[in-house]
Formats: sequence, structure tokens, C-alpha cells
Amino acid sequence: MKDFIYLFRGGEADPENPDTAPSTEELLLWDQWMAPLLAEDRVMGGDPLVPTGRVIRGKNSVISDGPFTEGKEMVGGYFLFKAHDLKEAVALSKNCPILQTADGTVEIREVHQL
Amino acid sequence: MARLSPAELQEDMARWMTWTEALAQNGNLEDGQPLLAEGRVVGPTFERLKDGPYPDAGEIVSGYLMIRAAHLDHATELAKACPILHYETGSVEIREIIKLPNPSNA
Amino acid sequence: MNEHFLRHESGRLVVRLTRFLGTHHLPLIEDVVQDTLLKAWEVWRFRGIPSNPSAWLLQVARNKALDALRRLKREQPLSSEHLERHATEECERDVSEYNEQQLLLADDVLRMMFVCCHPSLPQESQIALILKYLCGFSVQEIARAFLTTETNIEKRLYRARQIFRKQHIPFEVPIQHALLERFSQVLLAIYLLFNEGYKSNQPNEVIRQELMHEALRLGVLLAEQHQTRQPEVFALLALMCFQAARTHARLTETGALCLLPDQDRRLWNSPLIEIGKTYLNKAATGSHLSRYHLEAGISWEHTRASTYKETNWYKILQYYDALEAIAPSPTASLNRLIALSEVEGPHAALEAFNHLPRQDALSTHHLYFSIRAYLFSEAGERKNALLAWEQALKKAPSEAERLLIQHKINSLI
Repeated sequence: MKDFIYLFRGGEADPENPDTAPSTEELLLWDQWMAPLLAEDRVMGGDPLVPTGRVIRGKNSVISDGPFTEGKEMVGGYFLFKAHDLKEAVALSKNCPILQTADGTVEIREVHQL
Repeated sequence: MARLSPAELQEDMARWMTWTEALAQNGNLEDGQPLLAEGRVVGPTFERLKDGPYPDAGEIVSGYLMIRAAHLDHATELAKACPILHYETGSVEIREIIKLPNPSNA
Repeated sequence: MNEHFLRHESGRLVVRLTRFLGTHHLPLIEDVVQDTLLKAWEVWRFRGIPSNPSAWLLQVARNKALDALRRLKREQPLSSEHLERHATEECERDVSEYNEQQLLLADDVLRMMFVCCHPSLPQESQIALILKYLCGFSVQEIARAFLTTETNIEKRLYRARQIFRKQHIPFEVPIQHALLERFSQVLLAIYLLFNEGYKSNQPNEVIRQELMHEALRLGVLLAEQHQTRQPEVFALLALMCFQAARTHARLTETGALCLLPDQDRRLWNSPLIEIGKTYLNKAATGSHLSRYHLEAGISWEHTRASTYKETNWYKILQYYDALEAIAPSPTASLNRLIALSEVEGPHAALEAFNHLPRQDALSTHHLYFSIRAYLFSEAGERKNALLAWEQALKKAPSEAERLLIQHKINSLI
């Protein structure tokens, strides 16, 4: 089994107000998606991220309030979990609620095993 | 990074190890992992958008560190010494984690 | 971890993979090695260096090489199938025996040295190849060392790879007659590499010391292998040791070059000199007197003397006379005149100066004017000396030499 990370972007119900707390329905959807993953002992951690933060860039270490203001580019949360390979990791993301929104995406990356 | 010489790569590695060791020694480092460059991005209709990992923003997440800090400003301060900033195109994004209760209890 | 670890590993990996895949796959090999080092960078910066970093790198490189070969096979099904099968077998067999691997590595390094000095390759390419494939220098680093552009180096490497591909140059150390021929080329390449490091062309101290060390390292490798353990190698090693031992005395606090007459000999590296002496003794076997023997002899006479004036100039002059016969060069001819001046006086040397063959290389090289100026100085001809120093100043190739010459001018005014 390998370790993977899901990076969630977009999918804000109200892009104008990204701070809005998720609705009960949303939480239920996430719960439904996660339940089988938890049962299979695949989940190692994961949390949503505070929508505002900082970005430091380049040699001059320019600090700006970040991240990218456009909702669909901003990482809203992450998951760490186990899968056999990238293919399986992609397949497991199928029922992720964020994919039922207009602009939500999931980025799937493998953690280096070596 | 792909164009860097072995000597330059080694120099950069040393900078990273110095930074993460300092974070660990001061009790700020909780976890940190490098990510494979390959990956996938999937979109709303579950179509494979692209062989990732390039999101629309155009920047690749090459790894992450989980830091323990007093507040966002402190975390930002700690991030200033990140070796990725040695390169003009490098950037560090600092985000606070919202600690939720265990999802199955929600 | 040694500060040059990744660079040296890069060389080791190239050499190892070339044995698996052959010289015609060098472009693929370069990509695989670069990818391997990148992977190490990606992982080690977070996780630290593994307990056996060399083995880690070799395993990753091996896997990438096999992947790359399989991709190639799919793209070019008509390429020699047996070669790929052989390479796969080699790769798989090699992983198990680590100690045996160390021996194989030394052999591979030697093979690569001879491959890089193949007679089909132009001289200038040979050193570039050695630096790239054996020493793990980047194209940019090589360009800096040779004061040329990256494009030029890329071109040289490209042409060399083409030659490897077209001629299917085997990855092996030649035998008998071919070995002797190629061997002198290998020695020359190392000698030139050392000289690039030794003479001050750019105020880039770091790169220059690097080159001297690489040349020494390669010389030692030659001395350790039975096929190449020849007196000439020991002579070259002795020469390099004696020359390298002077490094700390060769620059003043202000960054000006400091020549032999003015060097503080207490700053010479004694342990390195001792090592040089051992090599010099080992070189004193066999009947063949090579240019390296003579140059090592000259260097030794300087090294053993407590001051410039107490140097055995007569012996040095004899060495230079012999050198002119077997390996004439403008630089040697010029340096000989200094010895001649010490033995027969500056006027005799100036006389000989006028009889030097007129070569373009000579008259544009700043050394020509510098030595001329020095001889005029010794002969008490102040005005001529000044004129010559001023001409030398115009041709000075580095800041360090400019400062030196300016100092000489100032002391005459």
C-alpha cells in the first residue's frame, strides 16, 4: 500500500463568501464518502484549511496575504490515505462531494515511498 | 530544478536539511512529506482533467510540512527560511489547519 | 557526506550505466542519471540522507534505466533486441554483490576514461567529456572552467555523442598497442585538466581548485589499476602534488598572483609534498623518460630548495633542454629562459629570447612579455623592462595577474 494525498480545490457553495461554514448536507456527503475509506483503514488524516493564509514568493521572500483568491484554485483541504497505486487512488475519489460542485477538483499525488 | 548540477542539488539539499532540523529541534515540525511529481487532477464530471499535477494555478505542490506554531504570523516567520525561496519561482503557502472532530462522528 | 558526494556519484552512475547500456546510449544515460539525482533531491531534503546513499542511487538509476530501455524498445522495435536483453540481465545481476561492485566500479571508471579519450574525438571534447561523465560537472560549470559559452560545450558534447553512436565505440579499455596510444591521450587529458585548474584565468578560485582535485583523483585511479600502473602516471601524480602544494602561497592578501621568487614557502602543503615524493620515487622505474618525469623533476627541484636563489638551476635547465627535445611547447621554451638566466646570466637569456621561433601563440601570450620584462629587470635595463611590463599588462588574462604586473610596474617607476 502506498501513501497518497488528495488536495481539494474549489467547490465552494458560495464563492463570494468562502468563509461560510459547510452545511449539514455537505458534511453528510463527505461523511458518506469517507465512511468506507475509514472502514478499510485507509485514512491517515486530513482536515479543511482556513481559507485565508499567506504566500511567500521568490528570492526576495515577498509575503502576500494568500492564497490565490480565485476559489477554484485555492486548496480548501486535504486528505492523507492509503491505496495500492495511483489508479486506485483516482478511483477512490469518485464519490468525493467536491466533484459534484461546478468547479471542484481533486488533485491526487503520491507521497514518495523511498 | 531539472537543470541544476549535482553540486547545486547537493547544496540545496543541505539547506533543506538545515531548515527542517532546526524546525524539529525547536518542536515546530510535526510532519513533512515530499510528493511525487506525477499525479492526476479529476474534475466535476469525473473526467480526468489532466495527467496532473498541474492545477489551473500553474504551480506544482512539491511537498508539504505540518508545522506547529503559535499563530499564522509565527508560521509565516518560520516559513521565511524555507530553501525553496532560494529560487525566484519558489513559493510557500501557509495555511492554518481547521481541526475537525473525527469525521465519522460529525 | 562529502561536499562533492553527488557530483562524484553522478560520475559513478554514468560509468556504471554505460557498462550496462553501451556508449551509444549516453544521451539516455545522462537523462537517467539527472532524473535519479533529482529524485534524491526530492526525497532526501525531507527525509534526510539514507544509510547507504550510493546503493539507494544505484537502485533508482537502475530501475529508471530499465524503464527507459523498455520505452525505447516500444518506440524503436527494430533496435538490437539482444542488447536490451543483455543489459537487463546485467542490471539484475549487478545488484546483489556489493563488494564485487566496488571492483567493477574502478574498472568502469577506467573504461570511461579511455572511452572519453578515443582518437576519433577532438582534444577539446575529451576533457569536456571527462568533466561531464566522470566528474559530474554541469555544462555551465564546464563552460566556466574553459572560459567559453555553454553553447560551445553543448556542441562539443553533442558531436561526441554522435561519434559514439555512429561508431559504436565499445565501453572497454583497449589492449596492447591501442592501449599505449590511448594511454598517452588519457594522461594528457588529465594533465590539461590539472593545468586548467592551476593557472589563474578567472578569479574563480572554487572552480580551479576543483579541477586540480579532479585531476589528482583521476590520476590516483589510474595508479591503482594494474593496466595503467605505469611510471608515467606516478610522474604525473608527483608533478600535480608538488604544484598543488603551492596553492596557498600563490595569492597575496590583495588577490594578486604571487610567483615562485616571492612565495612564502612555509605556506606550502608539506603532507602533499611528502605524498608527491613517494610518487616521484615510484616513477623512477623503467627506461622511458616521459615529459611528466621531466616536469616533475623541475617541480621537485623548486620544491626541495629552501629559497629561490638556492634552487638547483643547472639541473632545471638540463630538464628543460630534455623537455624541448621530447615535448616542445612555447610555455616550456619561455620558462627555460628563466633557468638559463639563473645559470648563464640575464644577457645570455635575452640573447636566446631573440632566437625564439616566431609563433603567433608566443607573441600574443602575456607570458612572452612578462618573461621578457623579468629578464630586462634582471639585466638592469629598467626602461625596456617597463615597456615589456606594460605590454604584458595589456595581455593579462586575469585580475590576479593584472595586479601582479601593476605591482611590478609600480616598483620600477
